[in-house]
Amino acid sequence: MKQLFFGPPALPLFGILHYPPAESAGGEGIVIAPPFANEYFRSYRSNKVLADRLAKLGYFVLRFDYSGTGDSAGDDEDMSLVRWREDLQTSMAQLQEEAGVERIHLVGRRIGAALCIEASTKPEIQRVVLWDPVLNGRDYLAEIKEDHEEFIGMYRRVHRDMKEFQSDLYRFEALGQCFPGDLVDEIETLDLDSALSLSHVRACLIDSSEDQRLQASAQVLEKAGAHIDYRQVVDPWAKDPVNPIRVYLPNAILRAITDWFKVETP
Amino acid sequence: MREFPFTCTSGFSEVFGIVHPFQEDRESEPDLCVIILNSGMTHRVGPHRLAVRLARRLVKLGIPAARFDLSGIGNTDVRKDGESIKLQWLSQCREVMALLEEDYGYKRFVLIGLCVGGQASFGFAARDERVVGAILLNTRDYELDTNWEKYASMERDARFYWRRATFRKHSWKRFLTGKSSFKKIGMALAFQVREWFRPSKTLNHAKDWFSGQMSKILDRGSCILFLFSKGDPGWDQLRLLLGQKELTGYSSAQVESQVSVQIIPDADHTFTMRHSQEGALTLILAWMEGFEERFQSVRKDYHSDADKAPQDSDPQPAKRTQ
Repeated sequence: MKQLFFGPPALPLFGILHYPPAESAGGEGIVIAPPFANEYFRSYRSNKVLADRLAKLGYFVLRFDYSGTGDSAGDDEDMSLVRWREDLQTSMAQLQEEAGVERIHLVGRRIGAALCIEASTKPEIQRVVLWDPVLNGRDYLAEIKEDHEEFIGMYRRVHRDMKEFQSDLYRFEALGQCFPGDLVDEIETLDLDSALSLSHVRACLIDSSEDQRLQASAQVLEKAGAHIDYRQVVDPWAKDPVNPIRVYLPNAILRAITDWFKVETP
Repeated sequence: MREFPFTCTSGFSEVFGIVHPFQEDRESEPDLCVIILNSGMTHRVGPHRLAVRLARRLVKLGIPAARFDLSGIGNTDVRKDGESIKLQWLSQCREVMALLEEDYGYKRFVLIGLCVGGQASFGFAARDERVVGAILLNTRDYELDTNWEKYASMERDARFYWRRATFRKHSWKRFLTGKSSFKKIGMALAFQVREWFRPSKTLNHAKDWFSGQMSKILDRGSCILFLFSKGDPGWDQLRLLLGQKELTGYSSAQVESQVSVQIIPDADHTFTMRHSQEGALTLILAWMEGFEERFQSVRKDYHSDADKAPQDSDPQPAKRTQ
């Protein structure tokens, strides 16, 4: 495992490259695009474990943090979907440079999956895992606000005057994350349900909901000619109203993803 | 941005961290570094990215900082040498300090931790002379056993029912409409009655242990900041372990110059609201800004006391008055 800063010198990204065992190393790499806000903290360890397991299969795996998040440079004002799309492209280029891989696969979770869908039009992308992708930005923001109200409602019984942070920079704050106005505007325009185009890649759609929320989207995509492997793996711990940044390992989902990549190991 | 990743081999695994140096050349780099430990199982970025923001703001004050993942957290794997997790963390912290000294010249460290990270900071501060300061956020239980945890929890419940719920209309309404937890109330009452007639030894045992640990830290001239969200159980525990009456047991100079307690109102355990995050950061940065002056003056006092003391006498540990 190697830690590295890469990308634009003024605003470098932080990433971790997982190497495959020398005897099984192939010419393929995987970039993991993380989720955002409280989901980022919850998923960090599971992304690390996933990267370890995928590397054992023979892939070079790169995890990275978006600008203004995690260990990467920048702060809240540097967060934007436009920049994060560039960050994903930069990470793919870095993986090619570091590992010399020709083919790249993507694994994205939540908003990371949305970015992967958009990036998958590149010809070097072969396979994409979409883990509970955010398909509609307005729904996503509404969900975050709802979770925040539920969480804060519990604490307001003790701390009645819990204050919102006052700043012109932010539209609102939720579950520990302040959302700048520009980022909110960008997320609101995210509507991939109707614009999905995954016809030249093989995609695995991981749906952790109990009510198969994403099955309809999978069917629409299949009809449009995409190669979709729909997997429902229920994750009862996907949300934690008591501690929204509690770390956990959704082992069943990690296994489903590694099994899917095992089919054609490099 | 001048931040550098580092990897430190510990046992049979590697520890992964980031260092935020202040100066470009090692010669002019300060010898004091703040190490930010993990908060619970959250990786080195800290809850809501608090550790990153803190490290970057410390550097702006001229104080270098480092963050790393302890065994089993974030990027660092669990060590496979069979050691207990506490011993793994202790040796990892020592190895990281050694690496930072070798690569950057840091010789003195202030440890910061929230919750479990605070427990670890307290433990390291008592054990390692290089640790000259500790900032403990919402820390409780320390290295005390489960008897203490149970005692502290019961004491908290008992205090709530005796001192608050008894005088609250809302609590009586819940009680009379059968919405209260009668089992909990019964246990709290039984605990309180037992404490009146036959006080548990757990509290005295815990106080003795805590006092011993505090003495180890304070007698070296190190400083501690306890920082709590209002209503956090850690604050209740500290009042039990080191209440105002108990503070008189340490010399007044030690208390004034070496121990600080700060409460942040309207904050939950992990400082979810940005308003409370900024409150915590402001207090930590203010304490760190005055750290060097405070530390040097404490050390000067210790040195002058040592000069006055007879040559054959051992340094006296701080004692609590009974």
